[in-house]
Amino acid sequence: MKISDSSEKKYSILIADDNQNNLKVLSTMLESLGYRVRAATSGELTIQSVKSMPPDLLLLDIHMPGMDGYEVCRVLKSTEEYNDIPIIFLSALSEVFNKIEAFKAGGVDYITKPFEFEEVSIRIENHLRLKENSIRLQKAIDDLKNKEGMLIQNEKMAALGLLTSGIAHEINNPVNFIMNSVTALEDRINIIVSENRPPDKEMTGDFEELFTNISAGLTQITKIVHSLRLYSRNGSHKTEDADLKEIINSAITIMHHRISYRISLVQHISSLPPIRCQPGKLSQVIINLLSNATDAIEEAIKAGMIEDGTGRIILAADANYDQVKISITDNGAGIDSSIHKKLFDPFFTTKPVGRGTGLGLSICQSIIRDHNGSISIDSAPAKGTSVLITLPLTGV
Amino acid sequence: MDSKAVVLYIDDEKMNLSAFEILFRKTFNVHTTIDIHKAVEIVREGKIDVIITDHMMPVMTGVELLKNIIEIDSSILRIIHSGYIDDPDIQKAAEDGIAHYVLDKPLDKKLILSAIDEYKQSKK
Repeated sequence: MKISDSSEKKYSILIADDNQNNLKVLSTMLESLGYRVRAATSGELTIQSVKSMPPDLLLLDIHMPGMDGYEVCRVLKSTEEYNDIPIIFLSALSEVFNKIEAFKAGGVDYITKPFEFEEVSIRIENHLRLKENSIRLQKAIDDLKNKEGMLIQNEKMAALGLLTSGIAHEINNPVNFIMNSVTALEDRINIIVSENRPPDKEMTGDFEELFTNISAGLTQITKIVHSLRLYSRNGSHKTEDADLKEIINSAITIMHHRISYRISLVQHISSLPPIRCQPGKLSQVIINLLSNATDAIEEAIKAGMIEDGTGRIILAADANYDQVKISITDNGAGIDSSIHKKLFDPFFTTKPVGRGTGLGLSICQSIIRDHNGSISIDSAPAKGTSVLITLPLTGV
Repeated sequence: MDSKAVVLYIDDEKMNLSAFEILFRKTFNVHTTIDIHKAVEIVREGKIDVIITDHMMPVMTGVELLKNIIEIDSSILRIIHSGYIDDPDIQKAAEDGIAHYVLDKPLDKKLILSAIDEYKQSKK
């Protein structure tokens, strides 16, 4: 930042003072430092000037006729567009000057008259630099937030990639019986048309059954598509009052093919009030945890840890007056206590390459924190794992 | 096997059973069941010519079922009908002759008719 380089008159400074002499002295001083300088001679004119073209910094005299400096400062600080303009108060040593009131009104500093060239120069430079830095910081924070959002979405899509073939099968199954039913309908309609006779009793019964099949198949497919849409939309900015039961059910629909064959899933879900949340993200959390539970169970079955060979997942959700608790408990392989502390660390994974990015739980935690909730894990090797989520109903 | 082939169709989705039964009722003598143990019982009765089974099912996979069927009657035509035909278990079952045919879901009616036709010819 080359403030004093007169070749680039980069920063603009507005001086508000009703004393022509002060204006002249300061203008000359600042212009020699390479600033673009404007002046205003009353509180009202200062506000007008800021509104017509916001300066990078404002030097503000306290005592002006009409609106005084404190008032001008308060007005500007209460306007979102202008509240980041640094305001430095000007006061004469002889004047009654209330420093506390000046800072309370939103001033960042003050300079006393008579003006000392070096002091004015350094104070202005410092505050311009501070402002510049805070803008950079804000931009860095915004960038980070965007990147985090992208990371969450990427992880979600990567997880979906692992589920794709299973979901394709989930859709293929109803497609199979819908197609067979349609072919069977076609055969019968051809008979009716070619033989020019009304359907007999058997055919009427078949029609009824075939249409029931087709309609049930379409309902199944619709449910899957609906669940996928809820899951995959990038809901990073969309907060709504949602039905948690529907979010849980959609997650179960997406995970159905992984759970259904060897695992019994028991649900204890009481009636839940609407929760203020980002549904796509909560769905991501539930799917992630169900996926972890399924992996742990498959591992336990392979290792012969489960006596009757049946995996079990208990999914419970219950609401009390202002929060909802969701727990997902499995009888899978469990987690060794030596790694409990690392579970939420980004990129920590115990899964083989290609099965997980190590971001699952870390992202779950970040999503739950964004909803002002908490997530904890209780686990013992060969016994199983229980994940508990607590969310306020007011969520995000 | 001059008359209609007796086909046993097994799937864990009852609408698959219903649609299959209505579709092939005129072509085959169709039996269907959702219950693996019942399927084994039906085969034991000795009337089945063709068995068509899903693979991914609770209790037992289709490949496991076919292995049991071979023990009972190895002359039955064994077909896996699955959406997971790339599954290594299914591929191996086809290579080892545990399944005579592997048919993809959704079902291609012509493929199933020609498979059963071919089998009938070979029995003559």
